[in-house]
Amino acid sequence: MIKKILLLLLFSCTDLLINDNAYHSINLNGVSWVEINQGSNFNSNNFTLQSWFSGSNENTDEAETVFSMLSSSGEILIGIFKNPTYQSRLDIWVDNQKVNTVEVSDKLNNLDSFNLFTLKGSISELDPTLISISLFINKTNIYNQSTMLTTERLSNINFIIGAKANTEHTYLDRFWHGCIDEIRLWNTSLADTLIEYHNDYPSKLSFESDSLAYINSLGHLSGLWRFYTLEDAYSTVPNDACSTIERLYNDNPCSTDAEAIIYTLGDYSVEFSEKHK
Amino acid sequence: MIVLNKYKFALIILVFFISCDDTTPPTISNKVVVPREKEMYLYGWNNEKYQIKLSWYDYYGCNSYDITIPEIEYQNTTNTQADHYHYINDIDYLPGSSLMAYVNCSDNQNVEYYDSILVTTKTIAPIENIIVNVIDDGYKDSLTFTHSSDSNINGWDFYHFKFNQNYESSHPHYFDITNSESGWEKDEFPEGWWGNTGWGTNKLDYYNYSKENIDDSFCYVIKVTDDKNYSRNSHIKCSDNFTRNANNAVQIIATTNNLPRRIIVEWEQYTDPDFYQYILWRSEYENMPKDSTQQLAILTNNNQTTYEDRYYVSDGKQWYYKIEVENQYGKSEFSDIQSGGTRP
Repeated sequence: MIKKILLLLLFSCTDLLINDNAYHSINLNGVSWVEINQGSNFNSNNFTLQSWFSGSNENTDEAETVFSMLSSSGEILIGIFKNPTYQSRLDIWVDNQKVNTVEVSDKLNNLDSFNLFTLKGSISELDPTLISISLFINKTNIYNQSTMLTTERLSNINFIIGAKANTEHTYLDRFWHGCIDEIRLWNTSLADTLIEYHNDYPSKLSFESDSLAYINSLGHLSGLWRFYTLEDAYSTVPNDACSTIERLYNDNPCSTDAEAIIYTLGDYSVEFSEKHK
Repeated sequence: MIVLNKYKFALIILVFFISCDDTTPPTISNKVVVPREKEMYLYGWNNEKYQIKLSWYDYYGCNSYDITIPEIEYQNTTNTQADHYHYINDIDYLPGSSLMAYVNCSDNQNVEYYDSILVTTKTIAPIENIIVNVIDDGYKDSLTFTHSSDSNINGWDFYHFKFNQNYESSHPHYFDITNSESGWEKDEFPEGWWGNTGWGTNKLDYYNYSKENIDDSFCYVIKVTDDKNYSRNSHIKCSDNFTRNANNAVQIIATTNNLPRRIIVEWEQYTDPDFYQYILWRSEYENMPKDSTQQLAILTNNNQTTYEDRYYVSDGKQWYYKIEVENQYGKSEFSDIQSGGTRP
């Protein structure tokens, strides 16, 4: 009898013995968001934030936030919002003004279809006290302008993925319906060619394999949050930046205190998801 | 023996179902409680003439609210926290006017915040579809028309303007009864419209005007007056079906893009004296297809060149607007389409 039961287990329910349920993303589901603090070694003069996200066809009549940075008084310093009427349009806000609306090739309402969002900030060539902003969806540069934003105004402002919120949470709305797979924070302004490469090879960090890759970009990776788990849930997402760098380049020490934290609204909870980029 | 086998079979089935139960995804809760902001969103609309309906969202919470509309010297206070609406049903003010309404968290609550909104009251429905027929061998003009849909109309005034049918320029530019030299005259004794026959539900749907000379030609305007003594004119209708285009289109000169839950639209003033009304149109779609375009407001005062759109605008949404200006002959010109948006 026991033998029969064991045999049955082996043949019919292998997932009980081998846990193949790996979770790669968090499904924000309109009640949750991810917040990245800049960390003590954040380079406000040159930085890049990347995130893979998918959307859903949830029928909302209001904008949903892909990404936002808000001042404590609620001004939208940088914001990317899905247009509620045209599901494939993104509205770009910089310095509390809508500066552009762009059509993206992929519709943003497919939970299985991940897009790469990239925000680059760098010192303006026109005025070194100001920041230039460059935004990409997948390979497409959707915004590239000098702004009136200063490094001072952007300092200590959390990067918010999936909600329009300020660091103090006194402004908090326009939540995203969809999944967030991976977030990367770089203390450098990545080359456009590397962003294209990241889009084409989502599991790779650099197209170079020698030490130049470390000098040029990998050494500036201060956050790598994969949202990977087999069964344990967490709100502080493990930062794999240093472990990844040290694995690739033993001789280069790494330290970072940048954090990604999943928050939920009120009494809601959210699920990790098997969907991935 | 058979009983024992049954037990074995049941055990196997049980193991099968337990072991094959899908794992549920890990879930996380990391609670953030949203602080209550002292902010209020006020909405205003009407379903009937002489009515203003106000409702508001209040995210903070107030025990009572003061409602004021200074132009009509209106003041009231709600008594309970649950009341987030207030209806005023008998305003004695010119229909089609725009009035600023305020809702304040009452002073005695020691919390000061409020919202205000420009609300437009419903216009008097005019007489429409006037057709002029020549009868009695040319000695009479007989006007048929569609009555005002308002139920409280109790006065009809008929005006005529003699023109020379050989000269197009002799048609009236606009209706003006205030100037005795304008050419417009009132029919003081309209046939069939005094006495009993013209009143109530049996009111006539035609009007006959007897001409002194068979060759005379006239244009007409019919004014309706309601039981509050407010009135509205029809379009001008001429016996030769002459019509006159509006002088010009007016363009939308500003729309807001960063206000929460409201869009303010501003347009040029139409200054020609043949002004009849503005009609503001709105659509979600940039080319404003007819079946997805709604009439937002009718404004009968040509000085009223702004409108606050709060009707289901929602946050982070783009809307498209055009303003129609209609002259007294019922001819319209449309503005270009302009977009406005709300703050996400």
